[in-house]
Amino acid sequence: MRRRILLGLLSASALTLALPPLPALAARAADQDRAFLAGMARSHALPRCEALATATARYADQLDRFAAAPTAAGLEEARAAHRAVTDAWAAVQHLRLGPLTLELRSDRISFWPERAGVVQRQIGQILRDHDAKLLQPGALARQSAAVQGLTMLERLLFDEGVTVDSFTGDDAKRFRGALAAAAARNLATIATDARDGWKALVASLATGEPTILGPTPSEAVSTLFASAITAMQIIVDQKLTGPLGGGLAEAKPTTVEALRSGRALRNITLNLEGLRALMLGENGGPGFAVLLPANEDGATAKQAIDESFASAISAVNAISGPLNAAVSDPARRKSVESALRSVKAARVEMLGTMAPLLDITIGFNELDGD
Amino acid sequence: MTPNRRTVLHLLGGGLLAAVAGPTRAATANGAPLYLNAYATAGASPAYGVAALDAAGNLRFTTAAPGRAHGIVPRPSRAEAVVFARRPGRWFLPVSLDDGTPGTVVAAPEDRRFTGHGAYSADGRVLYVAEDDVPGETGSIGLYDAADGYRRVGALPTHGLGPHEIVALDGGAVLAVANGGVITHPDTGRAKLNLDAMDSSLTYVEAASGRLLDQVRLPERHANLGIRHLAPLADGGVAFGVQDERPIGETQPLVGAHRPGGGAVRLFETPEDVLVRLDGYIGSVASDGRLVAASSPKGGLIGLWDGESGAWRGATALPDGCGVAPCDDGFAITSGLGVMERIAASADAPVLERRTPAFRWDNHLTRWQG
Repeated sequence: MRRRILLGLLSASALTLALPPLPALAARAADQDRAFLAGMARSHALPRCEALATATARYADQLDRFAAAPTAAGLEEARAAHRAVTDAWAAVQHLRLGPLTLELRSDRISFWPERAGVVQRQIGQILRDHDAKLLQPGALARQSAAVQGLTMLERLLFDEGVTVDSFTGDDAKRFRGALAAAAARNLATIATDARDGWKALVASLATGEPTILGPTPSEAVSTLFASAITAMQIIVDQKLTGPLGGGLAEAKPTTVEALRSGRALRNITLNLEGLRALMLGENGGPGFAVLLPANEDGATAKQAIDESFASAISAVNAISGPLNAAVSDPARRKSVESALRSVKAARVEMLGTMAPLLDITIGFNELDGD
Repeated sequence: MTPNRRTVLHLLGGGLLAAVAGPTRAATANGAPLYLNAYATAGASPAYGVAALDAAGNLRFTTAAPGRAHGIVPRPSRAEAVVFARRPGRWFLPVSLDDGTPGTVVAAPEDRRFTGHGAYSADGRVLYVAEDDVPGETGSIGLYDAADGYRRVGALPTHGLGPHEIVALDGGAVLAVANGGVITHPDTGRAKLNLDAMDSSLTYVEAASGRLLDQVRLPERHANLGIRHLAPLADGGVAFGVQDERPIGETQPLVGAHRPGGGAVRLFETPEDVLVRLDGYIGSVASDGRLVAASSPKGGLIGLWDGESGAWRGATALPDGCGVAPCDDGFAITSGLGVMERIAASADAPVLERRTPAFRWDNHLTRWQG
């Protein structure tokens, strides 16, 4: 019994009896919404999730080989594969609604922001115990999200002082490599499941039937847009404002995402590129912009989104990284603050310019629950 | 037949007016009631504060707050209320209910964050404030002496994680606490740090001693739901509303009740199609003692249940509606789009449908009978 999918199973009479009518969502036509959703899933969500599934599978293969015969070159290759997975993850992180939400997949792929000390403690415990049962297929999937995905893998591969020697020698060291391989395999399973989820959605969205994205196409469009706004807010609040802190003395450099592999800024860039693609379309498929009215206002809004995202992306790229160093450096903080303003400005365009033209009312209370 | 907000209560049968005399009604009645709601002004750079509306939805006063506010609790036997910051909150603000004059802002201790709700002792002397003990990663209730400028005089444990709403029961002798079960940290703002291991509970704490009187959790299959909002019931227990922190793709009950010493929680019955619309999210719960109203701003829907039997009574639509408070002839409700309406107890009740477009009403509506 899926939430939202169940609507289809109910009789029409039960529905009209129990529920007041939905608020009118004026201008957009149902078939337009349906076509956008199915097209977006096919051209945007699915290829991006496919890329994540591919990258994670490669990473798992790489780590299998490395764990069996650790070499310095093998460690570098594994690290490169880790970075490729991080890129693919950052490229889908904005798809908060849908298959990545289910079964806590997002948290299991990357457990961030972290609860101070908890991840370190849990991983430390696992490495001390080196219990072979944890390496069996499916075993990690039942553990805390903190020790399932990129969060643990980053520590195993990139922690300070980690070299090929950390994986070579006694049981405990060999366990480190085997654990990394098991974690990457688990990651690949999660990514494959999410990809399959989107694959199934492409078909259901095309028919307009209730899906996990919403009971109707128009509600799915609204909720998807709201989740994109939330993704922007996460960049603003968690990825930039948090590390910046209230001032130089209160900077929190260790709260940046992907600290150890140094991917914080690149992740933000990829998040923004993903969101821009969701707004404007990619791979010949539609973005939210296709739902804009075909008039001057629509064209202006599309241009404003395009330009504000371009500014935000170049402002992030202009930061001399890594981000944890930049927020702690009086000279470089200004560039981070400037990027923060640009990302906020792009969010304002989404909320203030695009949403009204799409006939999407972003509620005050529904957006960021409490 | 579709119930609407004018007639929805009428359909339930007679006797409801008499039932509207629950614990939320203040002892004194020498004036007209006020409806208190935190607000943001509409527009790109909102100002925050608290507003008082009369029963007809006219603005009586507005008071600026240091930031976005959340819950409001009137002080018994006084024309005063305290407004709490939205979580992670660093302040609360006493406000005169005669004219909205603000008192002195009270700051949270460095190692605490307010969660947005609180309750008074029956004599109005002690203010109990729900808070996170940050280093202890546990729930706490701060004690403030209202007669001494809200000086902090101590703290009690909530015996749970991530408390959100507190209500006073049994004349203030018992504090019921909705422990949402989710850990957050000031360094990472509103990010949820333990979703894979969340542990929500409803606890009853003896106000005089901090002793745990009773504690209950949802059944294991609903461990992904966090109990966050409460309303006192006539039987000495509470109604509660939950939020789905970790969607599992199935519909689940979102509203229930429990009485201290009463064993397991009672989960209210809700039509499947309504659960689909409520979208795993209850933002506010109110009761007149017998009827329970719970809002889902995400679903734009407010549902009604019989508090005693848990039977479903109907729903009314209010886009982005979240604030709910009992009123003389039903429930008053508010929305993030600046709307105040009434779910009327009888078809004869005057229609209230008031929009104040300059204001976006935040999560909670509180009635005060001066």
